[in-house]
Amino acid sequence: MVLGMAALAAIVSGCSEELPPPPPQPIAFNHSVHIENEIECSRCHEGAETQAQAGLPAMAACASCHRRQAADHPEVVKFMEQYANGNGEPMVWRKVHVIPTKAMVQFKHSPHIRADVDCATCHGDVSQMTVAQQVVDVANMGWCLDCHRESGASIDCLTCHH
Amino acid sequence: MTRWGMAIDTDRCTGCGACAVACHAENNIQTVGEEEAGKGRAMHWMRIERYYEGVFPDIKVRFQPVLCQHCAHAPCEPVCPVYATYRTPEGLNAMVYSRCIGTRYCANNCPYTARYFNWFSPEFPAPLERQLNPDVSVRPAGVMEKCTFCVQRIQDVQDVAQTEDRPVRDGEIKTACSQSCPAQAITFGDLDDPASLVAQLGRTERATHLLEDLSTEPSVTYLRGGR
Repeated sequence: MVLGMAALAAIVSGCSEELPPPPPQPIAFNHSVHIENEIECSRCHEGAETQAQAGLPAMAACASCHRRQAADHPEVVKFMEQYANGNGEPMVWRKVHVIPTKAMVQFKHSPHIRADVDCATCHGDVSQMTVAQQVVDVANMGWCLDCHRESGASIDCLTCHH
Repeated sequence: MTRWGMAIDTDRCTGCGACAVACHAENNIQTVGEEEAGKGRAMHWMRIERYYEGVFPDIKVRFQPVLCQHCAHAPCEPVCPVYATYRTPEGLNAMVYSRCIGTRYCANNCPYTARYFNWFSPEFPAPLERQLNPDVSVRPAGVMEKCTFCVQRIQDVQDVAQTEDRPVRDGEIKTACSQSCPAQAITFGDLDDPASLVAQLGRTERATHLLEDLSTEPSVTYLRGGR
């Protein structure tokens, strides 16, 4: 029994280890600190409620707070330097949750938010993450379908694959 | 229920080809070049067929835009061994690229020759890759494709309507071809809504369907003559 549990734990942890590691980001952005300061997800990821892409804030939006807030934090200093010297080029953040192109899936955030799916359902509890990382295999169609079936959402192939 | 359909007024069509160009742009359709097009490998989800009546110089040309007819009894569907093509609850003839294994039976069985096979990996040399529509997948070599009735546009409008907690209005959804038609010959809408313009046009005596005797029950109605 104990051995069985251990084997199961090994399999489960083995699965989670298969998830890709968090990609290196240009700035060590800390989600948990921002959420501790009661910044809602949608304040920075503005598109999530109305658009397909949740999106990322413009560097100017980050800078508007960070001119005063934590201005001496080394990562903030690094960010402000890039902002000042970047000639208006946006920060090149790396995607954490990637659905492979070959799946030919057209994912939209807005219908999910409208259906009251919590951000954490797919993205994990980022309030506990210093570095955003994948906790759910979003490339697993079975995982999507389980939720779609439970909630009575469309399971028509064309809804996502087109 | 919703059943998407289209009406094309061939008396209004001038054969300008704007619909075909708009379709290419909207749906990331690859071009294959002159040589391969000569082998019948050109891909146009929407094409303009020309019919000449009379002898030069006393000649009359009739144009007919042809696209997937989204048949209720689609000959392409039962021949697919992997269920990559099927009829959706909203009356679209769906093509699921990621299921397709490229047998090409469907294209062989389509009486309207509205299905196109990707013989090559799509190439969009820079800077053309920047005009790709992000809402539409780029199909790789080896899969079949065809008109989707711009399902991405249908979904977008449905999405907005649901956010605003209202039904989709008639005429709100415009496919790329209908939007671009300068003669406004193409109407898109819900055939199951008797008040919709497309359903009204379908009830007129000008309404015909392509190869009607095959009983494929197309969702595309052609309007001609009778005025």
